[in-house]
Amino acid sequence: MNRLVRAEWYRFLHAGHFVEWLIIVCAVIISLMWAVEPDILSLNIEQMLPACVEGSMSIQLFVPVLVAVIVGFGYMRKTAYYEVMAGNKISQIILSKVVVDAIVVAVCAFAAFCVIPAMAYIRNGLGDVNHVGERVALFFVILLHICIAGALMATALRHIIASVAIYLRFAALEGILSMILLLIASEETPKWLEIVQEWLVVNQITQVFLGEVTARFTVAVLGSLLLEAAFLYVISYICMKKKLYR
Amino acid sequence: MEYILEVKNLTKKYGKKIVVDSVNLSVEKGHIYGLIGPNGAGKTTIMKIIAGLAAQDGGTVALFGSENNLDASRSRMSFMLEAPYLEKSMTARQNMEYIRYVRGVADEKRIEEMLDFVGLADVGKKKVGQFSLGMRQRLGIGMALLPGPELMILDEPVNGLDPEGIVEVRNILKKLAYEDGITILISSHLLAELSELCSDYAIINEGTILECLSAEELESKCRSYISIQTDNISESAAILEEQLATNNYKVIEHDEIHLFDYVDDVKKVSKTLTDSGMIITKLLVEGESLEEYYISKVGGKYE
Repeated sequence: MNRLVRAEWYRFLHAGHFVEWLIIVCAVIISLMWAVEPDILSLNIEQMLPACVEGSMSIQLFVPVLVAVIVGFGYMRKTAYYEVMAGNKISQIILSKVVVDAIVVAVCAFAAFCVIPAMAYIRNGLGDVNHVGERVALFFVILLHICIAGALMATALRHIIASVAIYLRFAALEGILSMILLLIASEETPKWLEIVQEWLVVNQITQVFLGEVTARFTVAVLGSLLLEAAFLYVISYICMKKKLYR
Repeated sequence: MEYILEVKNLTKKYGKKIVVDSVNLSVEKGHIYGLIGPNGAGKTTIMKIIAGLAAQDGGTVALFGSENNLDASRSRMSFMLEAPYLEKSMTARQNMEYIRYVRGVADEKRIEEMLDFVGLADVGKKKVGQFSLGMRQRLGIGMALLPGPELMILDEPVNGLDPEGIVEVRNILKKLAYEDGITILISSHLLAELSELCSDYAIINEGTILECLSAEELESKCRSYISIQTDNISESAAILEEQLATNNYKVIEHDEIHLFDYVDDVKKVSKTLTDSGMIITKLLVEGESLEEYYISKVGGKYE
């Protein structure tokens, strides 16, 4: 496992200009906040939360795409085949992609996202916001969720085409599903519908900035990460076990 | 006999099409085994199954004497399938470094050694995207050699190379096999490319092994001889034995002699028989070349 992580880290640093792409993505994330709210640096944290929601909505669309491209590129170039031919276990191959590509991109995207709020906090203070630490941690978990999904989907498809699949997963599936749920929601919205809404990433992003941070919400954020990661891990494992390499 | 690789009744289907049909292969330790067949014969599929990149629909693969825990056995092998899998935006040295991590090779000096061995030490910092086909093939071989494998599986390693490149790669493989004792399974659709290299051959066509034979057997089958027909075959045979002191001949169906000596001196044979009163009705140097033999087996056009 250790050698696969080191190999993936080496590939991440040296192949396909991934570092440059990541820097560009981070720059875009920082710029997004300005694009959403040009006077953002004159706001305090409480006032800038709606802008954070808008910025995050865009992030969830292209950050997992970057992860899928990084992982998918190895399979497209077939260099990742060496990991199979060297006799490494499928589980370890999958995990090495998650550990390196997903986590590195998630950490970098998170750091980039925090730049403007951090500056705003230093200049203008916090305002009336509770559970700041929990919100920040949960937001990182959400970012981790989308990045891990990107990495696992690319491992399952073993192609750069996974970037399209992951985009559709977050843009189309979540977007359409949350809109349908909103349309059928009413005052007598059943409990299960509320729970489903809480487990959607798009709603989690809204709630982590603007809603209440409750124990149920925390469970939803962690649970949806674990559930999707487990599901996609099984799919990736089965797909790799079938050995359908081009 | 120690078989380092054994494939039994290996079968692979793509949809309804059978691309590998009950293939049996046994590769002895220290041998260079040539898998020869036209494009689409199933060579790459067999190698992909051995490499773990494709799953068989039937049959077994045994590596180093065991059908179990093939993943662990694969760590003792190296593969180069189709073209070498290279990251074009990285240099030769970086591609090597990536493989070093994947294969868990502790010794960093191996990279320089292998680059030097395949003649790429001077271009180690050049991006692989700028490499010629021959350089890529050599880098692929270098990457395969990096972990010091006991068995190498090479799929068409000279494919697309110019004659100079073919000689370079052939020399590298000869050195590996005969000096370093590495067992090699190598495929090609060109028999001539393997003819100076392999100790054993398997001829494959349409997913089926047509014949397995050693280099000696192949050579004997492809040996040149003088085909002789006279008015008296038995007396002609006696003349050859008495006057030319040879019994290296075969009488074929009582009306033809295949003489394996004096192939370079047909005149002497002709004169001896004529001077002894034999009437020669046929005197020809015959014999199949390696290519002709291969074509006769696969029943197609030699590429």
